Amino acid sequence: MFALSFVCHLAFVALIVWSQSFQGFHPAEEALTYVDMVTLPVASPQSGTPSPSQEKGEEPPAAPAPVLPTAAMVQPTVKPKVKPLPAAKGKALKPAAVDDVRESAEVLAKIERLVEERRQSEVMNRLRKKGGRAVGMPGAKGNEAGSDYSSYIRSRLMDAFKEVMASQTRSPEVMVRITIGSDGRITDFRVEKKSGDPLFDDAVARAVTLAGRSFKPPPGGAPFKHGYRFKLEGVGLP
Amino acid sequence: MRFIVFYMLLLLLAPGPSLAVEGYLDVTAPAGRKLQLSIAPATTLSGPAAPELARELAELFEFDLGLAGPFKVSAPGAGTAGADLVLKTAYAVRGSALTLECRLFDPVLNRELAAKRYTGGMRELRRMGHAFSDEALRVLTGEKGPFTGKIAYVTKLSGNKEIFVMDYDGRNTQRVTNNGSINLNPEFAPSGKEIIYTSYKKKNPDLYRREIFTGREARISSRSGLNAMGAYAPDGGRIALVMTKDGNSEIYLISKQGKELARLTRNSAIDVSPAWSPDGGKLVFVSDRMGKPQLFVMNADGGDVRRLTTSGAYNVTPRWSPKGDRIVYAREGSGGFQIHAISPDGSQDVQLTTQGSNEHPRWSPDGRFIVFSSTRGGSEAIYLMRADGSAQTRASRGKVRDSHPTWSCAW
Repeated sequence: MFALSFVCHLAFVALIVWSQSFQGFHPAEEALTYVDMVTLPVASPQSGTPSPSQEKGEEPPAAPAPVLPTAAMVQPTVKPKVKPLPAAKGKALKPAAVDDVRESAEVLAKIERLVEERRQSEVMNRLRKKGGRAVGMPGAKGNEAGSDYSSYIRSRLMDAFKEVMASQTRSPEVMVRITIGSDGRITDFRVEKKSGDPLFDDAVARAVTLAGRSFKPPPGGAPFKHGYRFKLEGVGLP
Repeated sequence: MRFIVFYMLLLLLAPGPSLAVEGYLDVTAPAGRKLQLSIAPATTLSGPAAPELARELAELFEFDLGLAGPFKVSAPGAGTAGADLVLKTAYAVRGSALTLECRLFDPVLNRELAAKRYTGGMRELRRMGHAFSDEALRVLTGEKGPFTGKIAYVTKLSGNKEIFVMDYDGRNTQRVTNNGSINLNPEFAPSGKEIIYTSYKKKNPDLYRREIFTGREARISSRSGLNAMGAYAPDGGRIALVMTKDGNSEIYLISKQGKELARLTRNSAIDVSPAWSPDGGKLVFVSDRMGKPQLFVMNADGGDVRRLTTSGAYNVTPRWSPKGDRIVYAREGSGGFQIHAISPDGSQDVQLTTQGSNEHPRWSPDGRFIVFSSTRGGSEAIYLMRADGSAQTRASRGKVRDSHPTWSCAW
């Protein structure tokens, strides 16, 4: 009895060690990061940033019920010839030993669940660290790839730039720094490096002005400041 | 082991590949878009409306700014919605007096880029319009336009080859010479107020200098033989000239008064068509010293001669661009001459024309355009194109032979 219990506990400890050994190096974690990013529940659609407080209360959606095969699709099954295990001669398994095995399986399942939760938690932490405070495209649901405010502004600038672009040189480049107030208006626009092509410089100013008319406020109500580099796609004079 | 540690450290410290400058996100747009410039219908400042004047002005702006390159110009009536720039004009006509106001707006940035008021006679309408086109290019591109410059050219309008001047768009032709002889190779002084040309009016092909506005003229080189293809140095005080007084066609340097300063070439070959670099330090010219006419470059004192063109069997009439980065010339091919442009180091030789036979290329004073003569329309006429060969447009409006154009700075 003691030996059986010892063996069971040893197997249990070995399983724990085995499962823990996979946490240290998990090559699939990076790939999971992206998948989780688009499927994880979102705390606030306004900010697009998942928050731990609300996350805890949410239950994952129930899995759809499996579709049962129709009678016509049922394959004829052959009854397996079950060969009863030969009982140990003179040593029948006692009910207490069966209870131990069941208990071990339950503990093992619990540990696996804990490991999975811990991994989810790590992914969430990484996402929060990556985004910082300015994460989240205003008005979006937070499930768009790359949906952070700086990229949202870049997208709006790019749309406007395509509408007003003009140049007379081959590869002009302008670097600007834009500050957006809590109401979504541009409070500061600084050209840090001109291109030397007045047509292109003016086009950049025009694009920023045009795009700035419809910026949504930064998430969190704090002013947003970021640098953008304007340049041409492809080559060739206009 | 140490090597491995060092290598790992390098890997850790080395910056990873990045598409954008750190801290900056890239905002890009396809190249090639043109600014939408809308011309608003002209209004009156006071007095009666003059629809003909308004129409002529709108056509002028459409031609000038459309040829310039960076703009797509929409005519009055097309509306100003969605335009990047709006050009507004207003006028007042009192008898033969004209007041013209022109304004250029940026509706996106909500600012006025340029505003000018011109006063003069009704005959000055086109000059006023071209002046504002020049100004529009200045405020938008940083470089003034060349539209108020004049083009001098040789025409057979009166039966023999005389020199005329016209607006760059072919309007307002005016006679310069009227001697019933053969007049060739007009060339503006850098000031644009004088012209030199070769004339046979005293039987010998002599070089003359003429003040455009006063009509005063002097024969500045009448050595025996050819005195032709004169080219003003950028300082305006010297002229490179082809003469045959020593028995062979050579390039000389003379003062604008005609005094011989130096002989720049000295060999048995034919050396012709000198043209100055914009800094006055070099000359490009044509020589057959290696068998066929090719372009050569030499220092302004005649030293350090090097061959420029290595392809083409007959390359002639070079001209250095005002910015110094290109040299335009005519190359003879199977169907006549075609205009080419080449870098001063001999690279990037590009053919700019394909239709008809095209000769005598000259730069506009800002280097944006090239004026040349072409037979593509039948009779030889004056054409314009952008420096890259695009927007080839006929300028002269006569039905007789027009050739040898040259573009002056603003009058």
